[in-house]
Amino acid sequence: MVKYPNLEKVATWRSKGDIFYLCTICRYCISETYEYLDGEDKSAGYQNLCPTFDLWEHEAYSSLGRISIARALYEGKMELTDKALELIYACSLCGACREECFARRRTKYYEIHEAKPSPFDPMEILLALRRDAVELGKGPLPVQQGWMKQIVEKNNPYYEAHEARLDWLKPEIREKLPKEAEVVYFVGCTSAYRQKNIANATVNILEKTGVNYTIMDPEEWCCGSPAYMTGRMDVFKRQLEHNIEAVKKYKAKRVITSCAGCYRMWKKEYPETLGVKLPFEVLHTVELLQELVKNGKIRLENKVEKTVTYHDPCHIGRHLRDGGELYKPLFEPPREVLQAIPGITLKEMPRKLWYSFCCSSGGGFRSAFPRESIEIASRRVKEALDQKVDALVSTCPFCYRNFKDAIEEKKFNIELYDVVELVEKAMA
Amino acid sequence: MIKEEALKELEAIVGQEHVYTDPAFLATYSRDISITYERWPDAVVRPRFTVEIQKIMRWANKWKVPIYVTSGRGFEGYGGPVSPFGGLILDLARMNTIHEINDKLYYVVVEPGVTYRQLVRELEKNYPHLMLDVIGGSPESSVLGNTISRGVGHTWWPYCEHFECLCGMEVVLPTGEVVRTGSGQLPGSKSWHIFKWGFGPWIDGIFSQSNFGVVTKIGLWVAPRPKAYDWVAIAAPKPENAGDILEFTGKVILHNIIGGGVTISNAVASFACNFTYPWEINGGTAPLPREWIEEMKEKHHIGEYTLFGPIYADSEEALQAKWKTLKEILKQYPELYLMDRADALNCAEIAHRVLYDQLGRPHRSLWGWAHWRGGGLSFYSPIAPFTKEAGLELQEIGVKTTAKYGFDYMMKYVAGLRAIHHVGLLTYKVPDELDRARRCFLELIKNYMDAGYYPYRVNPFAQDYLLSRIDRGYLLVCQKIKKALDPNNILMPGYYVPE
Repeated sequence: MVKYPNLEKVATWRSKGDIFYLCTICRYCISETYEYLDGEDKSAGYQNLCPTFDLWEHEAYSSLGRISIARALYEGKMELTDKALELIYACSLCGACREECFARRRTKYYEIHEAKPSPFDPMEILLALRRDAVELGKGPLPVQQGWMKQIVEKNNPYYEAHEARLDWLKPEIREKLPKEAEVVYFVGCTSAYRQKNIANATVNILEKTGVNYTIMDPEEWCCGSPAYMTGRMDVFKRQLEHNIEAVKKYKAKRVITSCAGCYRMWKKEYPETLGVKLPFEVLHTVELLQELVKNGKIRLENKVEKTVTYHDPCHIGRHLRDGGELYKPLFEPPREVLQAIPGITLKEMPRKLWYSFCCSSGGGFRSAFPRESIEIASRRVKEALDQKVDALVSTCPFCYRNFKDAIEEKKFNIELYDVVELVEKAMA
Repeated sequence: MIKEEALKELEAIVGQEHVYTDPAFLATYSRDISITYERWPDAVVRPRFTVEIQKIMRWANKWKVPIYVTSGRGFEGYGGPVSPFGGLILDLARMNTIHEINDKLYYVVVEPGVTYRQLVRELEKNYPHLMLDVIGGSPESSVLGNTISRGVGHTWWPYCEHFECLCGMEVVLPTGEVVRTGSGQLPGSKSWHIFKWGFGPWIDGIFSQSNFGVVTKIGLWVAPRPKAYDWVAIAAPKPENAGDILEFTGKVILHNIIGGGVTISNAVASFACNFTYPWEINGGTAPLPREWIEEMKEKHHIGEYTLFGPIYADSEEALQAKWKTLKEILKQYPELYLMDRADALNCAEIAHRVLYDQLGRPHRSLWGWAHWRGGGLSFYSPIAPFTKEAGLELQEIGVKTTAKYGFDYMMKYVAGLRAIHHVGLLTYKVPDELDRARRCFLELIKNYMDAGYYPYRVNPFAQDYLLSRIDRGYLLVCQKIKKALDPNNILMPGYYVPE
């Protein structure tokens, strides 16, 4: 019988292999719960939280389907077929399932009683399954193996030269980047190679506000999030070790990231994997913006007359649940910054905060299922349009990129911004 | 195994993308949370239209492939979409069209894949004066599936007895023909979903809890939303009051004081909605100590039995009149008492009922039962009269039998108009306790049947056990119908009608 050592690590609650049976196939992982909790239909027609179920409308494409596969593999009742492999990678690991899973979250509304949280974690089970697929020589999917090789060889998954990483940066700024600084701006691969608008806006703000910052040139490598999410822990560890050492070299007290995926890696996975507290603080750009607005270093004086809605990226949202003092979801900073911009009216989408509907770019999904990923992003854009807004705003270049492609392909009449871009517009 | 050639033909009927044979897809149909044995189907097909089902039936007769039908997934205490014989699972979840909502004559026409949540959402959004009786189980359950399984809900008679409100069906017979029942048999009839009986023999009943056809559409009467609503929580403090609470319930229902969808839970069942099993007490090998149960009852201010019933009326005055009569009847049972409303709402199950179910809003908090010990839940549901003797006897059998296997007696009553559904909740940790639970389940069914309390519905994996007792004359009729309608026995062989 094939062994699944990573599943083995997460398979036991009270007896060997019993964890899978805590999934009672209740479908909480698929759609919104407690919709009537306050006598109000919170999602107003946007009932599905699982993006892949929303698209394929089959439970095999949901957490309960993947848990069923994990159980059957673990118990030797099926083999890891090509279709099974496809299904375990047909997920953006957005974590909406974990948020709603009754086995995991059953205590949510009954905390006054002595309920104990369950150890059941559908995301951890899927990550373990992906790691096993890798160790068995089957995973990740071929297209993901392609960009994985690029991460190892060129430090980015975009098949771009490492030397071109900072080509977006004005030469005069690049030339004067210090070798030591209080803040390291970790640009991230997507901002560096694809959504340069976000990187540029960030640097412009840093320049204008006089923050003592630098960019690791040429030491910045991919954060490793794509490798982590697709089960290539060897690649992930290589990236994290390099990046941490590089930041130390710059003697930075703070690292800021544009990307939600990078932020999660730096904030949560790097220290948890190493089992140490990092010797510097990690912030997302929106946290820094919030701070700069509060302390008056950013003056938002230009009116930006727009009604906008905000998309919560999974990696800086619900992925950061249960972090205690170490990390917490960044729900408030982007909203606070947006509302500080004169002329901006913020209208929320029905699926927000913990229940945000994933754009489906993450978890290796976009590269392996490009058509499906765009379709899911389109559904999210439609949800934004239904709020009758001028613009969809987010704080993650990877979300941005997927939304941008969806908007262009489907010719949606909506503007798209990262929070930094709006802040830059509004700055005096 | 289904032959490759046969599968190709099946794909031609519904499209390749709706036929599933890879184990990665079949895995989700291999187990449920009940005492069902794990069984993998050979294939799953998900049709969209009635005409596809007709073709699938003809296909199954040609290739002699047994078919198990499911309307999608929901609350699986009576068994989920797991075929006891493998074969082909006909999953009707994609047939989810609401064909009609008639807000003047108060009925809906739905397909099998329409869920409680889907229908309630539509009603609340566009027809707020209509109210669907919902079940205590998952909002993801099929309205049609629950109705033809004769499930019950939590509002008032007749709406809480779902099959009672069924009016007109469309059924695909095992040989592929379509039959429309009731007034639907009469061409051009304007009363298919408002006049049940049609003309001649009324055959709707044979398509409920049976394997005589695939029901693809039903008309279902829904209630006018009541003008006034209140709720009552009554506690029976001691196990000895098991008979009092049952007799009292019968009286208030017969006099239309409380809606027929009244629910009564025992203490352990109520705890299971609020927290998980206290393994630290005895490791789960014996029933929870009586002292612990008493301590918890006191702490959570609930009785040994807790009744939570809806009171509906056309006006506030009528509501108050019902309250007055209720209190009069309650005086006849000095040990029963009205619970403090705040205390009652602190009990998750009561809150669930009075804030959701009784107002026609489905909710899912009752999954707590499945998580009480660790993922396993099976319902055993004997029917009993509203008498003191029955209340005490049902309790005695339940306590003794579950204790023999190291489980706790957990139950809720759901009322009918003349009888009570004693919905026993057998909860267990899967996989370790599953075999023990299966043995306990069968003995519970046996012991209740020995005492004259037969289940109204039972898991397909335990049906042989029940059917062995059924009157031969009745069975003979059923078997003759089966043979006439399904000569090759391809539709759910053995389901409610033994081969």
